[in-house]
Amino acid sequence: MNGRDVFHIRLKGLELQAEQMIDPTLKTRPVAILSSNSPNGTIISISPEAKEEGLLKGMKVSTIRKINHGVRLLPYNKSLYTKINHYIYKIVSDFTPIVEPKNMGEFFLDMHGMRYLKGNVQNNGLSILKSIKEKTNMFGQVGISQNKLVSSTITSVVLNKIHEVKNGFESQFFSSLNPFVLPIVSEKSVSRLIEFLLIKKIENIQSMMLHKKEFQILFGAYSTQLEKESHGKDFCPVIPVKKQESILRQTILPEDTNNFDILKGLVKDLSEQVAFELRKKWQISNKVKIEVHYSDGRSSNKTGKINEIDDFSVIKGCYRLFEQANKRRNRIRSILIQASHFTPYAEQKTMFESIHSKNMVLSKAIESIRKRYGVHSLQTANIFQALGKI
Amino acid sequence: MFIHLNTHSIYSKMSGLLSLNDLIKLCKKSSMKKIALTDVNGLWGFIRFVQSARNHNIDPIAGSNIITAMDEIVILVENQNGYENLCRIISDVHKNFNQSITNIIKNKSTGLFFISSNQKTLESLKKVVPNTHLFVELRPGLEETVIHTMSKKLKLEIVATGDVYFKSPDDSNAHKMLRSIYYNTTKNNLKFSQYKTSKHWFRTEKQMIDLFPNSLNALNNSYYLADRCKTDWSFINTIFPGLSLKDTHQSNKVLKEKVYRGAKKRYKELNELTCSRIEHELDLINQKGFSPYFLIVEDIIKQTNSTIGRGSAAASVVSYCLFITQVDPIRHSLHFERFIHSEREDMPDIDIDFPWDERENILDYVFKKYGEKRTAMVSNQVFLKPRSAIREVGKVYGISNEEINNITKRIGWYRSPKKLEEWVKSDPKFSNLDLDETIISILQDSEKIIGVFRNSSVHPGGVVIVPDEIQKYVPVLKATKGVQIVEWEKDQVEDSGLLKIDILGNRSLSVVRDTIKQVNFNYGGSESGNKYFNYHSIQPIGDSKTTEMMRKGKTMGVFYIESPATRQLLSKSGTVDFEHVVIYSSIIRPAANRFTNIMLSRIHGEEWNLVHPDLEFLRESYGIMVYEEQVSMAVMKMAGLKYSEAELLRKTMSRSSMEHLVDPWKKKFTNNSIRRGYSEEVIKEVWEMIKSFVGYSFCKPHSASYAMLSFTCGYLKAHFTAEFLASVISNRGGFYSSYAYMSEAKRFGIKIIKPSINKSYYEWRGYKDKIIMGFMSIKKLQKKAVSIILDERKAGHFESLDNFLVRTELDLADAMSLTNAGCFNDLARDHTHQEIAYKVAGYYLQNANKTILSGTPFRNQIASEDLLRLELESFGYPVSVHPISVYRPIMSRRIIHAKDIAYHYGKIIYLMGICITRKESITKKSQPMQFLTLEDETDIYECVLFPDTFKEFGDLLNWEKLFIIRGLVEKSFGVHSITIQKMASIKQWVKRSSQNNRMKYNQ
Repeated sequence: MNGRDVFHIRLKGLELQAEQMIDPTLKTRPVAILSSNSPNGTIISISPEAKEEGLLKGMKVSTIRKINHGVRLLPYNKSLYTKINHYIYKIVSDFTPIVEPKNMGEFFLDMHGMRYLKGNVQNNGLSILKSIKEKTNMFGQVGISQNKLVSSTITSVVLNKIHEVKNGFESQFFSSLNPFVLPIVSEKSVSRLIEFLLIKKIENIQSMMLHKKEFQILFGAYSTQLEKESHGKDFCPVIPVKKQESILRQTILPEDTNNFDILKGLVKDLSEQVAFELRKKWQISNKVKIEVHYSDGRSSNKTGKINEIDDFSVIKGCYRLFEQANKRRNRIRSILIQASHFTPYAEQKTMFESIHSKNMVLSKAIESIRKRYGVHSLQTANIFQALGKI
Repeated sequence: MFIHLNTHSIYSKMSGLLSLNDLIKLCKKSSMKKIALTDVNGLWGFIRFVQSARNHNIDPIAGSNIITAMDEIVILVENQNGYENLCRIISDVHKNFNQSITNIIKNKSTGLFFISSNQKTLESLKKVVPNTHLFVELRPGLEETVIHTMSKKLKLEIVATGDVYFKSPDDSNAHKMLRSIYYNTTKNNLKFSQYKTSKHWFRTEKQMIDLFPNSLNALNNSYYLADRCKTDWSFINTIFPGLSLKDTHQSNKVLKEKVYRGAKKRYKELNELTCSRIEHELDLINQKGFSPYFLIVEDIIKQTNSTIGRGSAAASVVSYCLFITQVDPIRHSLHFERFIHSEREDMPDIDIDFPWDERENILDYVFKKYGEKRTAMVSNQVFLKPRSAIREVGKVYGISNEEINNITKRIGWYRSPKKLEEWVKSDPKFSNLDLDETIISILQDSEKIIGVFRNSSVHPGGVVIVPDEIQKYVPVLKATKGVQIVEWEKDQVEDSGLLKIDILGNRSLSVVRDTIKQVNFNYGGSESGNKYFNYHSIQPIGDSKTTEMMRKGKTMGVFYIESPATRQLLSKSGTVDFEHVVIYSSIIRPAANRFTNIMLSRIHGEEWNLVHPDLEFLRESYGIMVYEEQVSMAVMKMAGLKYSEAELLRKTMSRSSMEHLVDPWKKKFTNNSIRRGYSEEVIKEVWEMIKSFVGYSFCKPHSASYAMLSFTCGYLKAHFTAEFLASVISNRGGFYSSYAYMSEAKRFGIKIIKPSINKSYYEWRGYKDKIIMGFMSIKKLQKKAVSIILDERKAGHFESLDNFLVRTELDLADAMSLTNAGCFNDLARDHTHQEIAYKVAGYYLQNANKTILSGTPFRNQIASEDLLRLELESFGYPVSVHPISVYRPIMSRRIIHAKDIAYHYGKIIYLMGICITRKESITKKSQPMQFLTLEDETDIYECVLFPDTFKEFGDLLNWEKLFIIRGLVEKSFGVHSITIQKMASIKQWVKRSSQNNRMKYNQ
C-alpha cells in the first residue's frame, strides 16, 4: 500500500457555512442549526458566538430552550445542504476520479500518482481548498496521509488548513491523541472500558499492547482492530459512489394538516405521477419508499414493492405504505414517494381480460388526455378536492 | 308526561358532557320531578348525583347504560335488591367486557328494569326477564315505525328516552372531540359507530313530542316507569346495622376490654377523670355502633410497631389506649366531640400512617384477612383539567408536542380557569404566545371538555371494608396495578357511609424505626441502648437538647417541620414547646401568611385582644384561628349554626371540589351573625380567618398527632444525629435531596465515609460522628450485586481486592460501579484507582478459568477533577469536596461565607451557593416570586427573589444549580435572610471572567 496519497477534505460546520453563504449577516451572530425541532433534536452545527452563549454541539433542543438567550436557532435545511455538498463533490471530483463522500462536508480523495501534479503533495491540497473557496466562499481543511483513518483524524484534531502525516509516522502522530478519535472506540464496550481505566492518551493503549494476553482479555474481539487503529493502520481503499437511478416525487403542503381526506388525495396524486414515470420506463419498482414528514420535524417511512405499473395498482400500493408509515396524529408537512431498483415489466398475457389489463387500458387513456391537455387537466374527485382544500 | 330515563353525565367516560349540576338544572327547568342517571358501565358519580338532585328537590333514579362488546342496554333500579344487582352487573362488565348481557344478568336480574332497542338482545333477554321489566327503547336516531313493529312482534311495551349526552346540538362537536381523544384518532377519522350524532341533546317534554309525534304512549311510559323506580336513597349507617345484635354486643364487650387493657399500659394508674372520659367515649361509640370499626383498625395497626393516627381520631382516648394514636388527648386538651358527636350521623374517619415501606404488607394483610369479596381500595377519579384538555385536543388537531407545551407549561398543574380563550388572551404569561386560528380553536374546544371524567386510578391508601359483600354497595373493578378498587373516590365513599380506613405511607415513621434499630445496634447492651428500645417509650417532650435544636431551626429531616418556611418560623418564634409546635403545624398554610406574622408579633410580646369576647376558645392560639374546630365553634357561636351545619361548613372549606359553595356560606354566616348582634367589622375579620382555611386545613388532634412525631424525630436528631440522618437518607425521605441531608450532617460535624466493601450496608448507617454511605447511594449498582456482596460477607470480611474477586461473581457493570464509587479503596490501599480498575475489569471480563491480572502498564494517581467526576457519576453529587469550594480560590475575596451573614446586617453582600430547594409564590398582585434556600461550605441560608428580580433572573433557576448572588441582608424576628438583587451562574461567571482576562492580556 506504500505510495498511496489519501486526502481527507473536511468543511467544518458545512450547514452553518451554507446558511452564512445565503445570509451573510449570520457571520457575526450566535447561530445554531438543529437536527429537528422536537425536544430530542440536537445541535448539529454551531457558531463560535453561540458557543460563548453556553451552547454546545450535540446539546438537546429541550436544554437549549431552557438556557438560550438570543441564539438564532435554524431548522435543518436538508435540501440546501445536500445541494451544496453535491456541488463541492463536483469541485473535488475535478482533481481525481476516485472520490468517496463520507458525511456531509467530508470527502476522501485518492490522489495516488498525482503527487507531483502541483509540485508537491501539499500544493495539491491547497489548490483543492482554493478551488472550493473560489467557487463557494467556504473554508475547508485537508488531511494527507497514506490511509483514510489518519487523514480523517488529521482534519478532526489539527487546526491547520493542511497537514500531512508521512508514512511511518502514524503511530507517533496518534500516541498523544485522545483514544476517542479512534473509530473503534465508538463501540460501547470499548469506550466504557477506556473510560473506566481512565485512559486519556492513545500511547497508554500502545503500551498496554506490550502485554498481549492481558490486552486481549480486556478488549476481546476488538483488540486486533484497536491495535491497528492505535498505530494508525487502515487498509480500506477509497471507494467512489455508485449512482442509483430513482423516481422521486414530493409534495410540500402549504399548510400542515392531519386531515386524512386531504392526505389521501395527495398520496393518490403523487402515486399517479410515479405510475406515469414507471409506464414511461416500462419498468416496475422493487423498492418504493414513502416518507412522511411531520410538522414537529419528525419523519417516518415505509418501504415496499409494487409489481404493477397501472395507476390503480400503484395507488393501492402507495396507500397501503402511507397508512403503515403514518401512525401518528401529528400534522403532516410533506409527503415523498421514491421508487428505485427497477426491473423490466413483464406483462402476463392471459386468455381473458384481467383486472390489471383493464386498469392498464384505463391508465393509458387518461395518460393520452393528460399528454394533450396537461397533467392536471383530468383529475379524480378526491385529488381535485384535496388540492382545492390546500 | 315524560321523564328522562337515559342520560349521561361527565362520568360517562369520554363521551358525556353534562355536569351533574347542569343535568339537574335542565331537569328542573323542564319541570321534570324525576330523572335517571345512566352513565356508561358505572355508577361513578351516583352519590354526587343523589346529593345534587336532592338539593333541587328532584327524585334521583339509579341506572346504567351497560355497553359490552356484544350488546347495549339501559338498566334502571326498582328497589334496593335491584341496586345491589346493578352493582354486581357493572362489576361483571368491568371484569369481562366480551360477554353478552344475558350472560351477565343471569341470577342478577331481580329488582331491575331493562330497556333496549336491539331486537336480538330483547329476544334473548325475554327468556330470563319478565315482560313487566323489559321494554323496547325508542331513542333519537331510530325510526318510530321500526320500533313499533318490534314492539308488536315481541309483545313488549315501548319506552321513549332522550339518550342524552350533551346540552344542545352545538355540543355535538365537543362530544366528537371526546370520542377522538378516547379512540386516539382524529375527528375526521372517527367511525360512525364510535360517536353519537347531534340528536343526543337534552330535550324538554315538548321537544320529545316533536321528535316522536306518533309515540305518545312511549313518552308516557317513561313517566310510569320512573314512578316504579327507587328514589328514596339513604346512605346513613349503611354498613354496621347489618350486623346482628349478638355480633354488636360481642364487639362492644371486646372493645371495652381492650381499651382498659391499653389504658393500663398508657396511664399506669387510672384516675377518675381518665375513667369517666373512657366511659363517655365508649358509650357514644356503642350507641353509634362503631365498635367493630375500632376493632378492625386496632387489628390492622397491630401489624407494625410504629404508626401514627392522623385526623380527628387523635382526640379519642379510646384510640390512644388501643395504640391507634400516640397523643394523650386528656393531657393535651383534645376534644372528643371533634371526632364523634352525638349529632354526627356519618362514620368517623380513622386515618393511619404506616412506615412507607410496610404499607404494601399492611394492605396485603387487609386483603388477605378480609378477602377480596369484602375489601377494595378507594379510587382516584381523574378529570380533564385545562392542562390535560389542551394537551389532548392539541393532539387531535395534530399539532406538535412542542407547540402544545408552549401553552400548557404556562398553565401550571393546579390552575383551572374555565374561560380558556379569554384567560390566554388577557394573562401576561401568554403575552408572547402566537395565537393563530388553530390555537384559538384548540382553546375553544378544550374549554368545552374541561371537567370530563377521564379515568380512575388507585387512591394511595383508602381501603373500604364491609361485613358481607362489597359488590352489593358499589361496583368494583381492577386497576391497572391489579388492585381491586371501588368506582367512587374518597369523598363519595365517605358520603355513602361505607367504612373507609386510610392506610397511608409515612417515610418519617420508617426513619424513626430505622434510627431506633441503628441506635440499638450501636449501643446495644449499654444503658442508653436499653432506654430507647422501642417507639412508644421515647418521651421527647420537654427534652432540652431537642427544644434547643428546634429553636435554632435546625430541623432538616424532622417530620413536618423541616421546610424552609417552618424552620424560619421556629427560629423566629423562639418558643418551641409541644403546644406551640401544634399551633405552628396548623398555621403554616398557603393562605395564612398574614396571620403567621401577626402571631409572631404576639409571641414576642405585642399586646392583643380577642376579636370578640365570645371567641374565648381562640385564646390558646393567640386570638388567631388555626384549627378546623375553631371554625366550627366560631360559626356555631356567632351565626348560631347547628353542629351538623358547622360540620358541613368545615367540609366545604376543606374540599376543593366544594369551593363554589364558599360564597353561599359566607352569606349565611354574615346574615345570621348580624341578626345575632355582631358588628360588621368583627364578622369581616372572623370570616377572613375562616377563608384562610379554604382547601388546606387541619384539626387540632391531627396537628397534635403530627407534632408528636415531629418531636420524636427531633429528639432522635438531637441525640443520635448520625443514625437519624443516615435513616432519613436511606428512606429517601423528606423535603430535600440526599445531598442536602448529607450537607446537614456535615454541618453537625459528622464525617461522611464513602461506600466501602467491608463496612457498608445497602442503606446508609450512622455511628456517633460518622455516617457510612450505603451501597444504595451508587447510582447504577443493582440490588442483586449488593445482596451477593452482603451474603458473601457473612462468611467473613474480604481480606484484599484479590480475595474479593475470587469470592464474588458480579456483572462487569456492577463491578465498575463499585470501583468508580471507591468501594475498593480500603481493600487495596497500595493500589492506584487505575490499577484497581485494571484488575477488576480484567477479572470480570474473563468467562472461565479466571485469573487475576498481575501488574499494570500505568500507575498514575487519580487527578482531583477525575475524582470529582467519578463522584458525580456514581452518586449524583460530590462527596469529598463541597461544589462551591472548587470555585472559591478563583473567586473574588469580596464574596463572603454564609456563616458570616449575621455580621453584615443591612449591608449589600456577595455570596455563592448551591440551590437546596426553592418555592414559587404569588404576591397579592398575582405576580410570581421565589423563595430560595442556598448553601455554601459553611452554612445554609434563605433568600428571596421579589417579582422584579425574579422576572429578570428566574429563568436561571431552571437550568443552573450553582449561583453567585448579590443581595441585601435583612432581619426579621432575629432571623437573617437575603433579598437578592442580582444573581448569575457561577460557571458562566468563571467563563466570562477568564475571557475578560484573556482579552485584557491580549490587549
